[in-house]
Amino acid sequence: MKEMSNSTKNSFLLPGLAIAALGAAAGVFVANNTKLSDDSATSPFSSKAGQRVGLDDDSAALKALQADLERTLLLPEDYRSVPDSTLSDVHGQPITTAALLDGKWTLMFFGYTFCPDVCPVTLQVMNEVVSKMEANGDEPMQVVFVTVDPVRDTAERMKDYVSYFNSDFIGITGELDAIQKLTRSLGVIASFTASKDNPENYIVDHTASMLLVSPDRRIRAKFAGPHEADTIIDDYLTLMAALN
Amino acid sequence: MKHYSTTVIALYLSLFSLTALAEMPMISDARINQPPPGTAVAAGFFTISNPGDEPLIITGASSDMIGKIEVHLTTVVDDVARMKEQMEVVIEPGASLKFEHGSYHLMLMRMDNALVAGDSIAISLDTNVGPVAINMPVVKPGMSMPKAELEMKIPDSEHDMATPKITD
Repeated sequence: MKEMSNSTKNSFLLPGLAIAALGAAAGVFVANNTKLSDDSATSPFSSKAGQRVGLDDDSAALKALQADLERTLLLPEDYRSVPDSTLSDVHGQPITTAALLDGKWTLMFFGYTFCPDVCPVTLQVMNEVVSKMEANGDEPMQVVFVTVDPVRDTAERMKDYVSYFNSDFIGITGELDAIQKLTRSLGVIASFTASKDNPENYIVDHTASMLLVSPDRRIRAKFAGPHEADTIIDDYLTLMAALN
Repeated sequence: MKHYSTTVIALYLSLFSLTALAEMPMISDARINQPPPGTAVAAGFFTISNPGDEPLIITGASSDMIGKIEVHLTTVVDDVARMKEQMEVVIEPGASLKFEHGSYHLMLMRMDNALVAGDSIAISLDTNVGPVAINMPVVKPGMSMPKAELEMKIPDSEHDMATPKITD
């Protein structure tokens, strides 16, 4: 790697001003609007009257299944669902959440490419999960990485980023409003912190768990950290044996 | 007599240099994980030991090869991964501190050129005992990453998502 010249630095910084202003605006907008949209979020083991919580309404079976999981939080069927919305794939083409998720078990993670620590390691673990399952002859889940920072994470950037970890991984970006609606509906946190040094270097605090989405787009489990591939695989196979 | 004095002074300076050297921070396991293509940030990790008698205080870092470097701390609390710049990191006398995944790290920003495995980046840590030079090789992260003891807990059943808030 060569040392940067002053002119190179300037050529980087000047166009960055426009991005910085947009990024800062987006940060303020999202931070001010990122709230849990649904105050009725239920306890994993409580149910609203007349609603299914899974496993044939047998909360004892649900508790027994939870006890079999190593580090995963089982969620009831009526917890939250991925809403109908249109996002963008890594080619810049619109994709609906139905087309993305229906009919497949999906491991979903929300992060951003400007994240130097948690996100790349999480995606490495997700790749390890899929690779080990394939090697063991188990059918892996679909993996979807959704950016919480669509202003900086363009389709092109997402394509390069996601494919670096696994060419089968799906990267999702989209309009800021659409991403915001998705995260709010799922209770996913995206909290922006401005940079004192440079507005374009803002940081996004975000939910750390991976979400397990069912083929009918319900959030059925959260894989909490520290993430370890073997633990995720064990818990996923336990869930598949019970829920399918 | 003059020769004797010169010898004493030289010996004194040598001992002084050795003492100063013995109290300089020690760096090990320095590395930068090769970032995915197209990303303008990367994380630098290392272990630093303080053999001195006084607290060692890291106040920043810089490199002629990187546009901007900040000292950051990652925490995961209530299922939210947070990253915040640290203005001071203190290592007590005789203690060591690991800069590692899920904890302290150097955040490298404004990189015009992609970092690839095999590169080596010269970084200077700003400390209260003077600059500390670190030569950080860029490595391709393996599947088994060093894990920090993250403060991570499964959200409780009463409020399973943390309340969003803006950090300053």
